[in-house]
Amino acid sequence: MYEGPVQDLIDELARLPGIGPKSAQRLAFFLLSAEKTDVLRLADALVQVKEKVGFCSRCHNVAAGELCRICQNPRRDPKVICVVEEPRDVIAVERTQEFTGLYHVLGGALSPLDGITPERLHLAELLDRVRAAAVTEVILCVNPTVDGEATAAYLARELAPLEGVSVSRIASGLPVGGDLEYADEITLGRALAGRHAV
Amino acid sequence: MRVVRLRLHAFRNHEESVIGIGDGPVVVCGPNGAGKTGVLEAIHLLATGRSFRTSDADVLVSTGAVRGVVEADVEVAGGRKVRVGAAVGAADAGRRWMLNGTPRPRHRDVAVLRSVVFAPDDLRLAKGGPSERRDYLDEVLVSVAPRASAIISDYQRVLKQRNVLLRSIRGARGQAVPPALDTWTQMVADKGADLVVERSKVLARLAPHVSEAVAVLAGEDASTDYTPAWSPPGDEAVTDLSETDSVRSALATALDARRRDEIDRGTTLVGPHRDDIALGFGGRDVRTHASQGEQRVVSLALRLAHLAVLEDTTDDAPVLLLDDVFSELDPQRRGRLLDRLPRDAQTILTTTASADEAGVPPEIRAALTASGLGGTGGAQLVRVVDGKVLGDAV
Ligand SMILES: [Zn+2]
Repeated sequence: MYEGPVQDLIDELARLPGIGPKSAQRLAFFLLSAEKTDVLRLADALVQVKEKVGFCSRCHNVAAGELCRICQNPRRDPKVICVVEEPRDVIAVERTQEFTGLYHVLGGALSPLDGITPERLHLAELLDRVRAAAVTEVILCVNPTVDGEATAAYLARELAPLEGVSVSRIASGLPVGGDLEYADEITLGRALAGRHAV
Repeated sequence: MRVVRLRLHAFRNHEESVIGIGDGPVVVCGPNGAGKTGVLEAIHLLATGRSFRTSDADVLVSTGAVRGVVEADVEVAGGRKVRVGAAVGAADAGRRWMLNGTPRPRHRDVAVLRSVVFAPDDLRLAKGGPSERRDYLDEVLVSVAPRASAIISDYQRVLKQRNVLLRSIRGARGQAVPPALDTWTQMVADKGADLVVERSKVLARLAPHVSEAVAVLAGEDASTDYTPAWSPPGDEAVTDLSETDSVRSALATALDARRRDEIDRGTTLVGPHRDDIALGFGGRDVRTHASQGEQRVVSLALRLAHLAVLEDTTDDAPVLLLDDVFSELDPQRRGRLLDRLPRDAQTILTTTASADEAGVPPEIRAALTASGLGGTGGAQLVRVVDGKVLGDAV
């Protein structure tokens, strides 16, 4: 155990995903020896991100205002919605430059093990969006994991009764058990192009 | 393929053992508890991702150590050399894999080695419960198609998810069943069908080899049938297990029929996690109506069939690991077994038989000479005493 504030910092850093106690210690001592202005800039960035950035009220992507940049863009096609698990998946799909519609971020995938029930995801909001707007196509662009597949299956069931909406899933070709985040643009682009109805 | 160097660090009772391996068969020799089997176990762990002796990673680590490490330099077809490694123990949340010094997340990323182990404990394949035979089948499946490990782990994940959900539904008795149950049920049918089909296909490849081996070893007929522990109500049992769509719909119907039971018991009762292989010997059920000697023959035949299917799949012969199998067999069957083993496969065997002056136990030496087993060079003796390797070639 270190002096109060140092230990507090280590404890806080260790709560971040992918940071173990050892890395937390290393980061803490790096910050301790860094220039004060650099550390204040980091602290300011942390405060700003929480104060100025929230989630898009329509698609739940990260947004600096009420709506995210994609939802604000009039050139995007509002009739097509690409459903993803996390905001980082929006970035992955955007990189492919294959998609010109809007997104819907679920905020995760179904997983009873982690207590993720349908109510914990932005599923009802998606159904409302599809019913309210003249949406013609929903593309389920979830991770090719068991949990992602279950989420797609659940959504396909919920969306099935809605008339005039075609529902498709991106084609495989993605590494099994992989994450969209790590798929390269070409693979993901092809998968998107080769989507199939569910 | 050949293992040319093996290192065990804080693994079982080996503090630090390094074995350089030549071209010939390797005889690992020493008293009981010396650490002979640990040598085979290390190779098999690298090949399959799991120990053939335990599912508990902690017992693989030497007492007092935090982490055990095993590492093999493998020469594959074409002469290319690859180093595969595993770290086991609580510190690594079970186990961690290395390929040429680079950490890899899953065993299938480092699945370079192929091995088949023959062990006295193999008797459980014939004698034990269904899970022994399912594990055998899954091991064969992954060894011939490493991608199949994804099918197995997907099914296990789906099962876990659905069981958690079923338990929570049981806990909230009286409330409406959430619609997510239908989704997870559909997932069990989907992933379960993939697994049943892969298993039944690989069993169909094994079956003729099992029959042939039983005929040679004991002069009897043998049968092997994939036996689902579930069936759709009213219908005949599912006959064609190689057709994904029909297996999926049969599973879905069977799941639907047991839904109430499953909610009451809070667990999934239908699916390939309960299936079995029915083994027959001379028209009798091996598990219930065969002698121990007959059960041993069938167990050996299952391993020989694995070997045959692997040889059929790749040109690079797997590493043969024979753990003290000679002590369990009479001389005639020992001879027939040795005759059946591939000549080009690297062979590593353990024995408690006492070594003569020249090092290799006389009966093993006689058997090895007669069979011409395990490559071109002379047999290499590796003595293991108290987790330490004292080696020399003979
Ligand atoms: Zn938005």
